[in-house]
Amino acid sequence: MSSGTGRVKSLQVVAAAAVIIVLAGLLGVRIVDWARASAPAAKVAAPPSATVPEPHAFAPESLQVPCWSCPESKEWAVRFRTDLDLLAPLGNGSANAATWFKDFAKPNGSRWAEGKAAMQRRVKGPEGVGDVLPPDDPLLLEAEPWCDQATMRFYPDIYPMKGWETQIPNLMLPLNFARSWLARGMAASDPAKAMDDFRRVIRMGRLLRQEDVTIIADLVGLACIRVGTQGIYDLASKQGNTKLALVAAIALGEAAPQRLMGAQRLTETDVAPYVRTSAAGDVSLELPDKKVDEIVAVATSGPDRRFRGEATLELGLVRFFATTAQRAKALTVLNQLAASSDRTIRDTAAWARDTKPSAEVLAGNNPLLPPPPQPSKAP
Amino acid sequence: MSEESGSVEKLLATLQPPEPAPALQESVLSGARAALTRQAARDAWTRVWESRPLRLTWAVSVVVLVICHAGITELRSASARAGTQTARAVREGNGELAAIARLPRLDGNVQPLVGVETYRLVEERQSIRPPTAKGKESAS
Repeated sequence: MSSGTGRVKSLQVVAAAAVIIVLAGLLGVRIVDWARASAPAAKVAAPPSATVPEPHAFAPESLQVPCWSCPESKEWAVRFRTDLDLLAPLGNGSANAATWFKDFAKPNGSRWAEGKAAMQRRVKGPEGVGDVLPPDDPLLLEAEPWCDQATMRFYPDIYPMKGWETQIPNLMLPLNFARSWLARGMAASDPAKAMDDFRRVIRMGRLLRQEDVTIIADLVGLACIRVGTQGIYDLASKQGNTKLALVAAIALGEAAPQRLMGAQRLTETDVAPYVRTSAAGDVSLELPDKKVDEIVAVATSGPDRRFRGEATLELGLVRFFATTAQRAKALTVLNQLAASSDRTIRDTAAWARDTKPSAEVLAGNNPLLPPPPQPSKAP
Repeated sequence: MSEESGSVEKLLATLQPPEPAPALQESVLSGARAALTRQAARDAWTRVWESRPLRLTWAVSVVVLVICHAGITELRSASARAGTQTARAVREGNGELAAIARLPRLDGNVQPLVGVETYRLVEERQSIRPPTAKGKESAS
């Protein structure tokens, strides 16, 4: 009897001690894990050495001026028609430049604070350029070899595809690098060094556009290419290098049409003008079937992956808020896209199919376009 | 017969056990009382289990640990909440980036502005358009 009581007591004591040990041990593991995640990461090792080839040779008579306002442009991908290798070929580095840029993501990147501090170091740049980093800023210098890499890919390995909630890199950083290299090139007394900086700016932009997943990164990349090309044009004109100035001028002329064409493509698939809110507050989509067909066409066979992704997300809205027939059609297409061999398209379609957006998302669904001019209310 | 009975009584009288010592009863009873009032011997487990300071320490430790767990959960979720900058967030974010990222809303039916093709398309459109639908088409 007494030995039985003693045994029970010992088990009770051991159980009580075990509760403390388990709680404390688990807490320790969680603290270490959290500290590791939030501590500044060790700097990514310098990228593998790379070389940047010279721009391709070309005959001026081979150049063509693309007509972005002509009807055939409707079938074009929104990309430079002019071969940018004539101005600034990409480097041949084997690293993924995104592995460096991801650390500056706002605000959870392991080096976000460094990027933010760099923004505080900016000084006034040349007229029209804005604030720039000092020419010898350590972060600016650290970034340079990463622009000599051949690839920059964030999705879906670094940032998973989560529809409207998909994370984007800290685009302020490459934008400011580009402006800073531009300013440094403009101030350089050595034309060769100036040209290196302008070409680096274009490579930065090309890397940003390379992946073709998010429209916002593409637009920042386009802006980088435009300012870098402007630098080359100005320098080539100054040097009397008309051949180089000519190709730069043609490329420069392609920048604004691409923004407009991008806006038009985005408008074509945007369902915001068709959102109706009843007096009871119910939100629905009153879409013509033709509009749904247009969205389906872009999502399934558009020439640009970023616009395909946008159209796929719009299909997600159709799938939940449009008429029964349109919902069924959207679901069929989303299922088809969710079996795509392209992982970003596949993940985006699966997200759009499985995630019911809130009415707020529907009301302001496209952050890149202003609200439609005449929002209407159904009685 | 009477002699026999007298001898038996005498014999029996000699066999009577002696009286216990007068203090024995008292000493036995006091010993029993003492044994009853004395606490049973406790082993180490029981002492630990029944220790009030140890129980208090255990309770405080559990409360502190649970609070710490709640704290670390909140820290992690706060960093997760703040951890994603999206294209949507840019609209309310840095004006410089938003200026680059925002696009105008364009009417998909806007006509090209150059070349003979423009006039052909405009004429073609106007020829199939009902009279009431005439009007300028432009970017909205």
